[in-house]
Amino acid sequence: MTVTVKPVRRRKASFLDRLYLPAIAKGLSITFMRMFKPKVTMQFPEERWTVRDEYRGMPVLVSDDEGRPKCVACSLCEFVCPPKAIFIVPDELEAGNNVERGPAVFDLNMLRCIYCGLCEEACPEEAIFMSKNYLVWGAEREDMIFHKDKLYELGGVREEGVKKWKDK
Amino acid sequence: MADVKTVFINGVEYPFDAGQTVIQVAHENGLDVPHYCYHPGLSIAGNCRICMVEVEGDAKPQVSCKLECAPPPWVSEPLRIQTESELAKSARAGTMEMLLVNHPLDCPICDQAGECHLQDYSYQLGQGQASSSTAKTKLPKNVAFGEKIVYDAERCIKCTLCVRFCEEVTETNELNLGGRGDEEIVIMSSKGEFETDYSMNIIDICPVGALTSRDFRFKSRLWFMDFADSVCTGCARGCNVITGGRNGSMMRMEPRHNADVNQWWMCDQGRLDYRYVNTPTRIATPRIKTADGVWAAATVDDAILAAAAALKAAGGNVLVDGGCTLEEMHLAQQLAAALGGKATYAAATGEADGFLRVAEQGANAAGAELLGLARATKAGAAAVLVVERDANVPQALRDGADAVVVFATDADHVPASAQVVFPFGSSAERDGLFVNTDGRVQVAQRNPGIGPDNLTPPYELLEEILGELDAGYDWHGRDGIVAAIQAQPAFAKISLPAAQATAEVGATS
Ligand code: SF4
Ligand code: SF4
Ligand code: SF4
Ligand code: SF4
Ligand code: FES
Repeated sequence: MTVTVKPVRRRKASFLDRLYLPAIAKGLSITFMRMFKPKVTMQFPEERWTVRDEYRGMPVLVSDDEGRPKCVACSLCEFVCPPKAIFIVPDELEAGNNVERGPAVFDLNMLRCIYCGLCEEACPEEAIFMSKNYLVWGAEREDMIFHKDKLYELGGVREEGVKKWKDK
Repeated sequence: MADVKTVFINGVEYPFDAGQTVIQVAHENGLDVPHYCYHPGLSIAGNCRICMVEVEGDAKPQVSCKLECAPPPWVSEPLRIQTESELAKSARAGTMEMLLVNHPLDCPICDQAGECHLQDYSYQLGQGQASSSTAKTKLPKNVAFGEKIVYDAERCIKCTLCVRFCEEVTETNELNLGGRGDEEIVIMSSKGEFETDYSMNIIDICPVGALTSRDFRFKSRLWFMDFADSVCTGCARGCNVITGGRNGSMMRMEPRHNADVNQWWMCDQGRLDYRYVNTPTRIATPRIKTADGVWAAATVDDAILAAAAALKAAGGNVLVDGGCTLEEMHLAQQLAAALGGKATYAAATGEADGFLRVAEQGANAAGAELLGLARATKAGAAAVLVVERDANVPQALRDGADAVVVFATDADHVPASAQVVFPFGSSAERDGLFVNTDGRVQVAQRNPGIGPDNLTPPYELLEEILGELDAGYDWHGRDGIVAAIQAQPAFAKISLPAAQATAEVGATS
């Protein structure tokens, strides 16, 4: 295959162009004009965007209307998660709980999570949700691995949805 | 009576043996007919109705597990069976729907998920919506059947496989059905514990998650685990098993069908014996004792050189665990010859139980005898010690040997005299051949999900050390080692499978 090269003709900069002053004046005039228009800059992080309902932020764990953790450690989210951001160690819960099984360890590695939402989709218990939280930060790698308690704290209570083990 | 010797299944003619039922002939020929209450090792109950097939000319479907292939005496034509016809499928779908009326759909918390017949057939035959709107019955969950088994009455489909196992195989009759209708459940005898040491087999044969193992309970999802065909090294019976592991830990061991060794079963002791594999004191890397007496982790190459140097100085005998493979034992012999000593093996003797378990505990004691290794009965000097299990090579033998080079699984089993230590995989982590108590050669395969990463197979280490000893030993590789064993007169009548051969894979049900 032959490649045809088409030379681009460039206009030579004129004297005015080379002076730069007109361009500076033009730029400054835009700056001055903006000073009298309404401000659009948001004071992040004090001010935050309200995101739309379908926004996929950080995944969190939720509790049912009686405040009981919903996750049963079925490990389906761990299985489906493409970047393997979830790590679960299932455990037997003491008698008297609404369900026999729950996670002893539920770690979510937010350095790995790609916010795909597959965990929420896979969860048969509606225990994990994509929250609206897009502000995920940590000073160290370890801080970016969220543990079970923190995930439940961030998730809070969710009244609606599946309550399969409610009467067990 | 006409002499009919064949049966047509889905239009194909198959021969059958006297007394065989349709499901048996179908399974033998690789046709998949669903079944819950049928097990090839137990009597036929025909109570679950999931195996229904159409018999051409009959208006109603019949259960294929109980339907004999021989037609009734007044019929002279072979039976013509359809397993996938509309009638057969709708009959099974109806059975599924009835089973699911009260089934709790516990799959998210059920250990059986992934190997559950109810789950599988539900995908194949079930419908998304229940036609019945009545509330599901509430029955006892998490009932202890002895110390090792957990029973969940809600998941139970009352197929009576477990009851029949205790009646027919162990003849200990611990289980029975109690209650009626919706409330029917399996109940245990008032003793509350199994008399038999084969009770955990009912976990395997239970088609659903009604019986689960206390030991494996909630430990891991099946789909995260690695499985390999292996052999139990708990005793010299050498029951065929499937090992399951994840992230370096062994999770469970289940029997694998072998009609000539263990049928479908294994003993509970052998099944739970795997736990030594996960000891926190596992040795993961070779270690060399430095001049000031502390252990330092070493590379495999350094350890091999150090071992060869230490052995050149010490010389002497080799003592191996009776659970070593034929390959390892053969190399132990070569090593002993190079060192001017003798190779012996050590193995414990337990009690036979009259069913599978035999008194001999050295899983490869028969192999050792064939190779001509003598049995070590009391402590004697040995320069090289191979110990997989405490039971076979107890402390007295280990300490009495004064060994300088030690292959061990557990750091606690390394005697103080050792100069160089190599990590030795458990039986689930080593490829090799075993000869069981009946002289049958069996293949064990390494499970990649179990044990420390990058474990060098012991036969490679032994060959390397032999090479360093300048005793004229040539590297053979595993094929060469097996060929060398095969060439021995004692193995003239035995044919060893080639090293790469996979173990005989039996049907699991
Ligand atoms: S959102 Fe996607 S990547 Fe993140 S935890 Fe869920 S499944 Fe994994
Ligand atoms: S899928 Fe849902 S219930 Fe299952 S482990 Fe994940 S969060 Fe828990
Ligand atoms: S416990 Fe399992 S094997 Fe026993 S009757 Fe119930 S479903 Fe069948
Ligand atoms: S009978 Fe022997 S080989 Fe079989 S499972 Fe028990 S200990 Fe293992
Ligand atoms: S398998 Fe035939 S009735 Fe149960």
